[in-house]
Amino acid sequence: MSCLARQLFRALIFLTVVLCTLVTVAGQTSEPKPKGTASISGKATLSGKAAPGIAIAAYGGDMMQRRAAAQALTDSEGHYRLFGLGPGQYQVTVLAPNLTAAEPPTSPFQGPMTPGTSKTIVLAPGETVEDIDLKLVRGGVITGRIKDADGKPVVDQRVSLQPVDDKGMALRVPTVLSFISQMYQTDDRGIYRIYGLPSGHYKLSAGTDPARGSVSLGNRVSYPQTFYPDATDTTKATVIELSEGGEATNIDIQLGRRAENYAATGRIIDADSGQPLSGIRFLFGPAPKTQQYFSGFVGGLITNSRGEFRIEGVEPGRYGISVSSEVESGNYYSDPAFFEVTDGDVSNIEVKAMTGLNVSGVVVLEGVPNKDALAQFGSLRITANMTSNSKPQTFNSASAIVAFDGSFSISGLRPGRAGLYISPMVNQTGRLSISRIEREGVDISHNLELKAGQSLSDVRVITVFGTGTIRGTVKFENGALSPGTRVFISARPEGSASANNFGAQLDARGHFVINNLPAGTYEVIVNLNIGAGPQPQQRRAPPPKQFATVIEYGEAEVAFVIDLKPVEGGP
Amino acid sequence: MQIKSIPTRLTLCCACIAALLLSSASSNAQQPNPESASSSSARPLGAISGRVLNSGGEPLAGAIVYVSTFGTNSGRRATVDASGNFKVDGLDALPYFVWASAPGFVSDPVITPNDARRYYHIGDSVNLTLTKGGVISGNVTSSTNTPVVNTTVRAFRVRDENGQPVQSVAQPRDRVSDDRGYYRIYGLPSGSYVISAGGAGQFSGFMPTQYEGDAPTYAPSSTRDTASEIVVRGGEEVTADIQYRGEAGHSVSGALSGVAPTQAMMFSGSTISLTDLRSRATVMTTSAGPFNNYGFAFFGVSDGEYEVFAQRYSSSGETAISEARRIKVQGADVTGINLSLFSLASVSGRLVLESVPKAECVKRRLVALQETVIGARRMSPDMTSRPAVKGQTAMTAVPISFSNQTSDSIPDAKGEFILRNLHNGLYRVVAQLPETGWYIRAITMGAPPAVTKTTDPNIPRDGLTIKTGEKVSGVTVTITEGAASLRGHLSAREGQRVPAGLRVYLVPAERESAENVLRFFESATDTSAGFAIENIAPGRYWLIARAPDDVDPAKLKPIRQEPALRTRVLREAEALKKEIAFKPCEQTSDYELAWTSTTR
Repeated sequence: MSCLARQLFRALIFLTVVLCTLVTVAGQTSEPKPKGTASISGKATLSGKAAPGIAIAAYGGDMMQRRAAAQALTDSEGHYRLFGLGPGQYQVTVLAPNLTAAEPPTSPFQGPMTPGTSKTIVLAPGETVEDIDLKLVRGGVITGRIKDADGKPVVDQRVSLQPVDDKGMALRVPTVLSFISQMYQTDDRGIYRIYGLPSGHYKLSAGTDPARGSVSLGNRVSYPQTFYPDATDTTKATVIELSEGGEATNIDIQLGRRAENYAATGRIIDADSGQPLSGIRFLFGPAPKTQQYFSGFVGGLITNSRGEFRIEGVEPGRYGISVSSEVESGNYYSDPAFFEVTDGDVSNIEVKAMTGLNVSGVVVLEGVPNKDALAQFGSLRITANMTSNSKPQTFNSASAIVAFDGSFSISGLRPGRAGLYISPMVNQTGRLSISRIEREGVDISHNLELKAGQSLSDVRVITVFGTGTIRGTVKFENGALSPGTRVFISARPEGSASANNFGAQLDARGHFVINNLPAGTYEVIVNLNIGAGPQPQQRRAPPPKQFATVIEYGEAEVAFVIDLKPVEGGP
Repeated sequence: MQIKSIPTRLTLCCACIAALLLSSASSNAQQPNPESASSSSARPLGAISGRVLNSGGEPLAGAIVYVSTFGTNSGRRATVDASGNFKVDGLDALPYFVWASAPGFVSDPVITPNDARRYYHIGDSVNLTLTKGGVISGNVTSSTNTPVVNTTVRAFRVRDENGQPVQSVAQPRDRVSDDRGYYRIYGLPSGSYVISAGGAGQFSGFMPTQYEGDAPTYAPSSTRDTASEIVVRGGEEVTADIQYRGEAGHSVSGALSGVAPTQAMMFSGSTISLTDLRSRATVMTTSAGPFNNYGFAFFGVSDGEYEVFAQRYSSSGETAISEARRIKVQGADVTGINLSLFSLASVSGRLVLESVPKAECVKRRLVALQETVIGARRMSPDMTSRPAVKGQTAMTAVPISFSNQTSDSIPDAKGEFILRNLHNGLYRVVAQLPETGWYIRAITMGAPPAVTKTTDPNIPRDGLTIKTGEKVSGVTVTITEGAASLRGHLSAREGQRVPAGLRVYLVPAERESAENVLRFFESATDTSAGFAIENIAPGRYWLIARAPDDVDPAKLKPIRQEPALRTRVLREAEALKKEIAFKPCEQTSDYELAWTSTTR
């Protein structure tokens, strides 16, 4: 048993990271989805030559569906074909982490594998999409050894790699690096090996940045941050230059003395009664002075029967601790308490927890009962976002699962104005959205307010179910979009000021699809967001619009042609 | 917008999962909040200190020592200094478990046949040894001799350092191959391993790989049936190259039922485990909850026999579990596995302290109640489902990882204890005593009897049978002051040597105690043939040393658990007639017991 506990303890961080990702990306059900008949094909090239034997995969419509909808190897000519795909949005990506994209990606948000190689493709039912070509080059490697002050290898130490410009300054548009976490960690010989890197300039460091603070968990020894080769200051770091497919070896770091860490102890008390609160789960984490908020992390700790908490392994830095109902169904919230660790244990930290308010009621479906809609209860999340009129900077949010019978109860909320949202936790046919909120027969959609000490029950959240689709294309004429421009398509119910806007991004071919629309007429708008970069703001005509009408489970199509010629009178 | 919201969600989710993990870690070591009813603010605080050395006897500076007890986030940690010392102070008077950890190092395995998770108390000094783990490294290449990049490579420990098959269920070590196809798995305990490449990792799909759907290839280039066993000894590095076959694996899928959605499940549903029965390894885990419509699926499963079960921890410390389902994967996917969650059983009761005013061998009477550990040890490792008897609660199939389940707890200030999350089966109730001056007098249902009658339910002898989800209450554990202790060594006749690994038994010489299992004691012999037995009830005993019945120390059963062993040892001891009597608090040391190989 102690063995189990030990293993669990040891695996804690790893599991935490891994499971989180898993849970977040696990959007799949075990039900076999009907196979579609659409396909995507193209050619992969490595340094301009046909690349045989490369694994290419298409990941399903929602952001990061965890299992490839289709996977194929390129043939001897570099051709691939992904087939059996249903309608929807896919990320076509290369599953070869030792390769990298030949051209820098336009967006840092990329598919799960080989950074920079993903392409978004919207497929219509049965559609055959060709010429989705993937241009690759061999990735570079940075490898070396991390040693401690005695010259001994440091095992299981994390290294971080920061892409910089040739002068060693941070890049404006971050380069996407591989997510394979193991390559950023030393082995039992102190050796790390990071591969699949785009050519460019990098700074490498190990240890933790004292300005940020850190909590050391597990059995890893922590060290003050040191940059290659032995600088504690990022400006003195040696910039590593990596050519395309090159290998930078002996990028060794000599670490300083082990970082001391300390304990932080205190109590969580009820703000009203002053009584210690036992079994309260709290969030804590680094809170650099430069930021207003602190990002809570490392859960798992709760107060003991005397309301006390103890955080071990705290390295010097500034931290925040707070009680939040966001983590679990707790009924308390608090403002964060901040504390600073310099060279010793910190004690007597006090967090004043306030009893949160509760919003409960039922989610109902407007109109005729719909089997697909009702199937979503039980895996539907309802969230209340609270903003305070008196303290606009304080913000609190909590959510709950809507039970199979539609009932819900959200607790731990601050007083203030509440915004209610519902979101599915699983991708299913159709989507529920709130049309209005009632209490005792009165529409309170726009004035749902929680006053101090007053919880709200019997709230009726009336929803509509959207199953319609608008599909479309956007073609640009007389010019090209400047690099980094993102095209966003929105659909707004006609004549409605409702916040229920629907939207989609343009895929690699200029196609888009907006799903889960309640039946009705929509105004479809093409929005152009100029990406980061110093290019001059172009003056253009107002965003193009079209109207489209969808019926339940129906599809409407629109086609835009946008003239990029500068408007007369422009600069 | 959607993308921007991810970090928050991740953070929350991390917190939540870490939380659950911690609560799961402590859920087997559950507690009825030790301090909760503690009125005495004068309870002493103390320290646990000690040393951590490597197997060469050198200080292991930088190692982390964990000191934890039952209850909410009770864990404390300390870093070992340059001289190998550590100290954790400000500890309440409670039982603690203490272990050390350093990257690449492994703890020495502790194999004991008795109740022996070792607990420490404040004031104790603890010496721990960590051994440099072994390394298995190699290259994974395709049939065309190109490197297989970023594939999951796993090491399954199938035999211990003595060559005996591993009985406990463990998770394999998991690494990925790099851009040259090179992998390196380190920090391995001594033993024999089979190595696989390909297929999904432990948490399948969190980082997709090209090889995720493949059936794993075992080193050198085979299926599990013909996999090579690779022997690793302390700190050695062994090479095991793998030629990757890339054969298609199968999927195992199903759904979870019996769960009402709760807020806590938004991020962390139930954990589904897939255990390979042959390697006794949990090859994959996944989760199911409202976020995936309670469905689960494993991919990249190779042919073989597996066990699938679900469990769910809650913040209250209660675990819900499903029955363990046996499945066989043979050239096809397995679908439609329905796992239904139910609550586990518990045993509650009371610890009673019996004071003996004249006994002066107890020093910390004030804290004795909460320095005692009450435990349940599952005795019947039956793994198959028993058919339901009409009108009775069916005994559900218990996952093999729980076939030897133990559950420990400490009483609250009133002496009340609860052992939670027990699977159905036959359990022994055990107690680890706060100090040498105490012995266990009785374990009974209801009030402790003045004199134990043979007609009473005999929990020490017969154990407790616990049905699925049953809540057993009213168990009373009575401990009494005035225990004796015995220290000694075995001596051999001129020209003979005392063999290693003998066991010394102390068995009742009084006829009326022959059925009193609590009067049976045992000790292993150390390297210098010494033995030590503590917490002995005063009375007359026979003493005997004998060779163990099984050469594999992992398979040794405690004498309190084995009726046949008790009968045999009692008969042999009676014949040997080596009698020893203990008065209350008597401490016998330097006892010399003659070893003769004819003792058997």
